[in-house]
Amino acid sequence: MKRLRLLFLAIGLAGLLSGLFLERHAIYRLDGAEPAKVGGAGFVAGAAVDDFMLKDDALYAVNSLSPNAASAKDCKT
Amino acid sequence: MTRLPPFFLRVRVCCSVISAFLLNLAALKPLKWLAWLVPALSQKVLCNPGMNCHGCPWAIGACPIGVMAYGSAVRALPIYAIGFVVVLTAALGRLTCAFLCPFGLLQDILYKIPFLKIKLPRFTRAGKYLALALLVFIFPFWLGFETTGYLRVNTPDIKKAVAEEGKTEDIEGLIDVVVSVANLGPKPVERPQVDFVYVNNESKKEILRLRKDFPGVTVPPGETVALSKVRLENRLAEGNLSVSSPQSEVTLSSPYHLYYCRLCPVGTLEATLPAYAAGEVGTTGVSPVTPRPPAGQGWGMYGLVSGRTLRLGILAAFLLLMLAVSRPFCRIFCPAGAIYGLFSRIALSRMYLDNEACIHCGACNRVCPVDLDVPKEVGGAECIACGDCMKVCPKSGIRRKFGL
Repeated sequence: MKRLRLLFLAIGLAGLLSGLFLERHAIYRLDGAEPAKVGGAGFVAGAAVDDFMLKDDALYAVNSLSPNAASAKDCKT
Repeated sequence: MTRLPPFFLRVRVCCSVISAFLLNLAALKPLKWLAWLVPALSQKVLCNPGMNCHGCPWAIGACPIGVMAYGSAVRALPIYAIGFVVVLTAALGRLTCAFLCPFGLLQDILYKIPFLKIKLPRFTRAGKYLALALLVFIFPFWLGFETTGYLRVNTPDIKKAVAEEGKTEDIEGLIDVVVSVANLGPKPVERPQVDFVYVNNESKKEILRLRKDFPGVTVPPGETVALSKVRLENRLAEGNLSVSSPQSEVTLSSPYHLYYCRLCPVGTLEATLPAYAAGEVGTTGVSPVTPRPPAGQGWGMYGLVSGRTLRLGILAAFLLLMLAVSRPFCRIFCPAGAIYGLFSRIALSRMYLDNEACIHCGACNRVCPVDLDVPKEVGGAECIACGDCMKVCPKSGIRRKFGL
């Protein structure tokens, strides 16, 4: 039982540390910009505000469609 | 016979009060001298022990159960959140339920109110394991999220207004704007809407806002459609023209409400109700807040029972049950308790009974907050390790151990 307890704790610690330092998720953007990488803590923070969605088997940032703008210099004729 | 100390003087109650305060430190945001702490408090990069919804405006941590359910729905493995839960379980077992969970504290307080007291049948214990398996892992993974929105509005094409042939119109100071929209989602978007907003270059404040919709237009998935031109007042000298669409706001919803966070009474109490009070319904996507139905559609779109009704009904049922039964949520519906319980025998902190010391007086059974047969079940999956039985045992036969 002692070994089992130790093993369980070791698995948890390994998960926690690898989650903090090694976990990486590529988050794509709907506007086609370069994807960003988030770590374990970033994923937790994003999940807390529903920041990600699954599309074509990849994670996309939900709020990655920013408004497009045009100014006076873009006005033709 | 030894008696338990008054409720609010018990160590576990004091620990729960401190834990509830620390997990909701963002409540201190209005204090100006704490302003420097606000960005850090709002990040929610740490996980909570116990049940405290990350949708709560005061919460500083994320609920690991919510993160795991979300991970299932987007098919991503949240190793950090899982690691946190395993470490917490390996170290404390179900001690977290009695000493650190804010919702456990609420249940204990409500049970103090004089009311008809009843005992729960044993089979209800299975509820939390079913909730964990079905609503946190299986259904979210299987059904995912239904997503609506994500209409991309491309950069507008602006021309000075030209009078149409054969018509005499006053076109001075007007521009014609043509925008195209791309549907990046899986479903067709009918009647696209576009917001035209003039934003001052310097102050970044809105000068003028106009919403146009395009009836009869459907944008198929994966296609780009040029919309008919829109004639606007020319205020380009004052600011930029920004185009966007309310249909660019992606909304995630869980099919058939089979997603733990959508049903969780903790989320309803701590996140949904404050959001309703603040008029923010629908702003946080999937989490505890039920999304606002699309324009023109009532709550009926969510089926016979709307998500809101279901959530509020579950919360009301549990609040009522808390008056009659001690810790009903922990026993019936808490997936965190299910995880902690499954491994409580191999946790570093655990309770056990010295069989030789037991005189079968029944004192432990009378104080157990989760109605256990203590001599048989202490330290097991259902025992929340509160230690009340330990305090009343006349032979000190129930003990707590921390270590291998």
